[in-house]
Amino acid sequence: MKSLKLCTIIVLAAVLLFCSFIVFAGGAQEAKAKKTEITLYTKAGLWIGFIRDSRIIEDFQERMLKEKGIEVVVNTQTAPHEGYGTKQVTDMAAGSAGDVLWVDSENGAMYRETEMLLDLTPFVKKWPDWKHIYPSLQKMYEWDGKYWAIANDAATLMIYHRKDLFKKAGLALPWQPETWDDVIEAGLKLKSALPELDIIMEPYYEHQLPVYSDGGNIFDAKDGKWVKNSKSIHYMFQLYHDIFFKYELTPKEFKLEKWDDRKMFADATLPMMIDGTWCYSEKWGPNSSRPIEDRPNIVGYAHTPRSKRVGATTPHGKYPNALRDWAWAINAECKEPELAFELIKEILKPKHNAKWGLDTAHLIARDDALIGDYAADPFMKWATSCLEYAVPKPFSPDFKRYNDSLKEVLDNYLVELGKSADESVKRFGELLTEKIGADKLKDM
Amino acid sequence: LNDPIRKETGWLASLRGENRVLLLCLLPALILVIVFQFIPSVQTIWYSLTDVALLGKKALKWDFLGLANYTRLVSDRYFWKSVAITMRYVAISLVFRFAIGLISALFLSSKMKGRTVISLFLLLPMAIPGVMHAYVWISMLEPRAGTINSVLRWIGLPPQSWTYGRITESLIMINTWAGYVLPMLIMASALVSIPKEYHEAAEVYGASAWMKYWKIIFPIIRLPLMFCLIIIVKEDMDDFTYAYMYTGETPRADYKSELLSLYAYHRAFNYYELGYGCAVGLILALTILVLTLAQVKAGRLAK
Repeated sequence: MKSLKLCTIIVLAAVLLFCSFIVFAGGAQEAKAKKTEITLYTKAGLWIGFIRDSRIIEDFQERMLKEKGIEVVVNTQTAPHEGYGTKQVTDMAAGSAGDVLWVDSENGAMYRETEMLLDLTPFVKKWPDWKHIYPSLQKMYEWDGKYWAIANDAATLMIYHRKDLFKKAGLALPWQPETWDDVIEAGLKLKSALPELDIIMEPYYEHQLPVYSDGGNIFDAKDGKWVKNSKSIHYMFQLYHDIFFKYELTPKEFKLEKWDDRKMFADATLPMMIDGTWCYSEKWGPNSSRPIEDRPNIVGYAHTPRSKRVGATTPHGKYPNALRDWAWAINAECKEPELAFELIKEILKPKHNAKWGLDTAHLIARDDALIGDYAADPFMKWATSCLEYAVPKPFSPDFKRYNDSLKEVLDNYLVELGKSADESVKRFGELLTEKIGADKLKDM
Repeated sequence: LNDPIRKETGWLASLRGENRVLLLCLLPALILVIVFQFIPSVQTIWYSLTDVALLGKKALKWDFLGLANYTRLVSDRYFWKSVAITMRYVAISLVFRFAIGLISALFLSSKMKGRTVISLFLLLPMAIPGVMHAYVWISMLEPRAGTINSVLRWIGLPPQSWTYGRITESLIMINTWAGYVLPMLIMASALVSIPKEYHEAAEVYGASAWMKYWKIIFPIIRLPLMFCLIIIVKEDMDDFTYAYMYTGETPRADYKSELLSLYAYHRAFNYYELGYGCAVGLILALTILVLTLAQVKAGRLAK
């Protein structure tokens, strides 16, 4: 009986001691860990879903607690894909946007000009992995020698084509046009062989692409001036005019009425289209809204070609391309910039970068993410090679103005009214002068 | 002024009793109106006199322009395009919404068989959430395989470009469909409130149906009719939702869907010209105010 009592006392004492230790240790840990919050601002759906499913936030929190002894609460702030830019602009202007921001280069450049972004140059200089980010992607968010965002991924353009319709039209596969004339030739063959089709091709996504095809550029980094007229710009308008009106490969209603080109491609009513890498999985992949069965045997893809104009050279490689996509930036108002940058580093880890790329058919932003299933996927491997030829958009707020003017002339003037290339070039110059200012423009 | 007795006998005294309770009851609404209407309105007026931008250098350092934004409007061809489209939209919508609303109201207030079942269908546009209206119409207006063009083809008429060339007509169609219910309900309630003795007296004196409506019913319900006209014009003048849903973040090439409210929005949020966008918005607000006052005045004269 006495020993039973003794045992009970010992057990109780042990339990008490253990509890005290837990409470003390916990308290000590709590007292030691600094608590703070940062907010991640990105798109709803696919984008935030990836961050959550990949346990990026949890890994980051654990790492911060371990490395810096900081307990970080990561809040997420999202806006829908449709109208994301406007929503973010409003949040930025109102001062209610988060710390780590998912931005595109057009709005990013506007934020930079409004002094809303943090200069990331001191951070990237200390970051050993910075050398792994592709140079063209580093350049995409660079202005005046400073870096304002870090690319999360990249996207280039390609000519998607329906292999089944190409076969029906007697066109040889695999198909890689060397010049735009080859594209038109294939279009004319499709048109005569498949008269039931209302449209043969979707001619543009990044409107300025044919300028690069012709060896030209839209911006001269040497003097910081935008090109309003050049042989390449004339070539671009002439090419579009020919596609719409001379060869009638694209009815103007297609653009003006905004036909759903990706659906039409999936339905085999559009044989050829220029679009971004992401379409392959995001639009036509197994889990997409318009999956294409037997995708490898149906969906063909080719590099965007050069022009055939005499004297045109392509300094960017054999198959010039346009580079676009999204990046991570830090709000200038962020109170914890170090932690915000650490979160970006976490998101950009090679394993996450490769998985995001494979899941959504976006290209990796860093060369050491060419790993695992991404590297083994034939489409991703091929598409990543396009990065070599891709021209980044200038990280200037004037790019949006330049691009808006180009869209306006193409839609309102060339496509709707059927104006010639000469007239379109003239109108383009007028619009640019109105929107950007004559002192920032030049002819080449 | 510092005399406490004088303060007691001043405005504070009037707060006692009933007035105090009234003021307390008014206070929540007053705060809401001040915070969400008065202050933004004053801000809008102020911004419209500046070149402040939503983003860019002019967001950081903007200048007071006086009336320059308003003089700019005079030579802004896109603004006038937008004015023309808005006027057309409002005028045609007014005719259709009013006419269909009136005919439906006459039907609802009649004693025809099947009235209850049909009235359920007539109320359907009001039952569907506003944001769904445009989506309901997407399949109807789709240029290649949409319902309307399919019907047109079936009866041997050429299909129309409802989402581009005829986008203004499409917006009017959607607006009419979604907007006839309110005037219908207002006019129907006015019609059923006419004492039956008036109808009986007209029948006794052998009045034709036309005479009955023209000489008895319409003069009695002219005030609700006037009210409907005011409501329709006010609603349509600053319409935004359908035009936005069929246009998006950038204006369409031909501006045929660019109602004034949408133009103000695009200027402020797509071109980031907040000051100029506010000037457009203010012109729109003033136009609505003037039209409303004119119509109220007309209503009084009619009375």
